[in-house]
Amino acid sequence: MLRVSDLHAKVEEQKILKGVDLEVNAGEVHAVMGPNGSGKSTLAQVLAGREDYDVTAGSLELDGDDLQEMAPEERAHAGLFLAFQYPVEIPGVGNSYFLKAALNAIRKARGEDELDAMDFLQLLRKRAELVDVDEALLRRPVNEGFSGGEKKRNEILQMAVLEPRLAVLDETDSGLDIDALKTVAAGVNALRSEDRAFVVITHYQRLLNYIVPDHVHVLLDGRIVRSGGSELALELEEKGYTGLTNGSSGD
Amino acid sequence: MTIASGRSTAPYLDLYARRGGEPEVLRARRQEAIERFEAAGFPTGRDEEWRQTNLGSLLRAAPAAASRRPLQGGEAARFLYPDCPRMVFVNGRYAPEISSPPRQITAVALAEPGAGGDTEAVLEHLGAHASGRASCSADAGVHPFAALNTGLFEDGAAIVIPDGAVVEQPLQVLWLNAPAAPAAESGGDTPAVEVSFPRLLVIAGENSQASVIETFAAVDPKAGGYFVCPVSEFVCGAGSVLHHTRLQADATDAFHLGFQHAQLERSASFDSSSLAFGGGLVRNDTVGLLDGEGSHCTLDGLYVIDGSQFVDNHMRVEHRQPHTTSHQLYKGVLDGRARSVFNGRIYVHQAAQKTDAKQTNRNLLLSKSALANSNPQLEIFADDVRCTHGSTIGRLDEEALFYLRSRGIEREQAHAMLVYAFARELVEKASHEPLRQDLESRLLASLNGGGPR
Repeated sequence: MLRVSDLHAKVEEQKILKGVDLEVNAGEVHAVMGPNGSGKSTLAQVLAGREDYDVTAGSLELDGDDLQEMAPEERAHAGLFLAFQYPVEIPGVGNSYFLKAALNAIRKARGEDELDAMDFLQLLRKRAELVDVDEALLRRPVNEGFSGGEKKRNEILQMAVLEPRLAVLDETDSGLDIDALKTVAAGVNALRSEDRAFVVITHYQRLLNYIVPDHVHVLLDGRIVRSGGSELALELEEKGYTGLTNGSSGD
Repeated sequence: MTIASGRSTAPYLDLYARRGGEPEVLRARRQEAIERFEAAGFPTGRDEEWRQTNLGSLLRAAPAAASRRPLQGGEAARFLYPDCPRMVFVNGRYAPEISSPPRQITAVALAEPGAGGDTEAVLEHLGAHASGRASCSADAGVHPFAALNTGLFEDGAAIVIPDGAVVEQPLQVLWLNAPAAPAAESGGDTPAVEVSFPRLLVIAGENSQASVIETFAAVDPKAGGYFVCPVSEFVCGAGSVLHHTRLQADATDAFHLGFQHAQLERSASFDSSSLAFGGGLVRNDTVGLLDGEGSHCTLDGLYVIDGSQFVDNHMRVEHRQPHTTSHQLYKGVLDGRARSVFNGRIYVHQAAQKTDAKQTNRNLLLSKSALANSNPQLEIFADDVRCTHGSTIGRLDEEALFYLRSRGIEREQAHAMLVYAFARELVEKASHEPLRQDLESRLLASLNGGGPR
C-alpha cells in the first residue's frame, strides 16, 4: 500500500531524513519509534504533503501513485490521513461543520454522493460514541480551547469519520493520561481491518501495549536503523535508544 | 484666483447657489454650515485627521447634482427585506411609490417636514449635532463633508420614536444610487461625478427601543461612479435602546464619505454595526458621545475589500459622564492592492470616572500588496477608568490551511472557510434573520471574488 524508498528530506536547509525505507501493506500496523529529533514528525508531515518540507531524493508511493505529485487534499482523497501531533486550533470554524465539509470533499472526489445534514449527523454521533467524544465538542470551533486529550481524541474522531485506508498517527499518545490513552487505542483498534493500515509514530513503548503492532521500526538520525516484530518495542523499553545504538553499531 | 487647482470649493459652492431651496426654518442652518465648509476648505495631506485619506481623485472630478431617475419596476427589490417597513431614496430623493414607512412612529421625508407630528423636534435636532461643528474636544475641528451635507442635502429621513415605544420590526432606509450614463464631455479633461447627500435623523424617545438598517447600494454597480456624502444623526434619549446597521455596498468606483454621530443620554444604549463591501474611496467618520451617566455604545465594523478599494474608518468616542462604557470591534479583510485605515480615538473627560472603554481592530491581509493601517489613540483625563485597545495585522494561518487541506478540503474552500471564520462574528450579530442572511451571502460572494452585488 505505502512504499517509501530512500527518502531524503530537509526543512529550512537542514537535512532531517537521510534515506528512509518503509513498506506497509493493507491490514498491517507499523510502529515507528525514535527519540526526539530523529525525524519522526518530519516523516509524518512529508507523507501528508506539507509544502515547506523539501523532498530532495527518494520516492513516496501510495497504491503505486506518486504522492509527491499530489496536493495535501488529493492525498486525503486517495485515503491518507495524518493525526497531528499538535492539532491546529481554528477559531470560527465549527467542528462538525468542518468534518462534514471534509467528508463530503472526499466523497465528491471519489465520485460518491455527498451526505446531507441528517445522514451526516447520524454518522457523526455513532463515531463520536466509538471514540468517546462528548457531543459538546462537536459544536465548538475546531480544537479551540480543547484540552490536550480532547484534541487527540478529536483527531481519532476525524479518522473514524473519514475512514482512511492509511492512517498515520503522529505521537497521538504524547500528553495523554492512561484513560485517554486507552480510549484512543480502543478507537484505533475498532478501526483496524484487512484493507486498512496504520503507521503509529511514538516516542514511548507504552501506547504499543494497547495498539499491538505487526512491525516495529527504529528511526535514528533520519534513518531506520532496525526493524522487527512487536518484541523490538520491549527491547527498546529495556535498553533505551542509546543501548540500542550501541548494540547495533558494534559488539 | 484659485492656486490649488482641483482642491477648489467653488464647484460645491456653485451647487449651493443653484440648489432647489428648502423649508424656511432650515435656511439659516444651511447658510451657517456652508460658510463653515467654505472657511475650512477641503482637507489636505497636512491635516492630521486626513493624512492617510487621499482625496485627489474625488477633488479632481467636477461635482454635478444627482440626476432624477425613476426606478424601473423591481430594481430596488433585491436590496429590501420584505417584512420591514422602509423608506427608499434614489439619488438622495425620497421615492414614496416604493416606500412603506411604519405607522406607529413618525418617519418623514425631510423635503416635506410637517407631514408627521413632531416637526419641531425634528427641526430642533436636525444638524445640531453632526453638522460638523467641533464638539467638546477642541481639536476635533470642522468636518467639511458633514458641513457640506448640511448645506446641500435635498431630502432625507427623519424618524422619531415616541417615549416608551418598542418597535419590533427594523426600519430599513435604503439609499440607492443610479447615476445617469456619463455624458460625453466636450473637450473637458475633468470627469464629472454625480453627488448626493443622504441625510438621516433618528430621535429615540425615552425608554424606547427600535432598530434601523441603512443600506447604501448602486442600482447597477457597473453603471459608473458617483459621490455619496451621507450624514446620519442618532439622538438617544434616556434609557433608550437603539440598534443600527449600516450596510455599504456601493459600486466599486464610487466615492463614499460619510459621517455618523450618536449622542446618548442617561442609561441609553446605542449599538451600531458598519459593514463595508463596496466603494472605491470610502471614509466613515463615526462619533459616539456618551453624554449621560451609565450610557453605553457598541460601534462595530467589518470591511471586506479587494482591487484598489480604500476604506478609512475614523472613530471618536467621547466619555463625558461617569459609568459610561464603549466597545469597538472592527475587522478588515484585504485582498489585491486594497488599503484600509482604522483610526480609533477614545477621549475620556475628567468627569467620566468608572469609564470602561474597549477597542479592537483586527486585519487579515490576503495578498502581499494589501495594506492596513491601525492607529489607536487614547486620551484619558479621568483617573479611575479601564481602557483597553488592541490591533493586529496578520495573514492567513498557513498551519490551519494545511490542516484543513490534509482532511481533503480543497485549497480554495479551505481559504474561504478561514476568512469566513475570521469575519463571521460581525455578520452573525445581526439579529434580524433576513439581514443576517444578506450579510452572509455578501461576505461569501466577496470571498469568492464576486465583489459587491
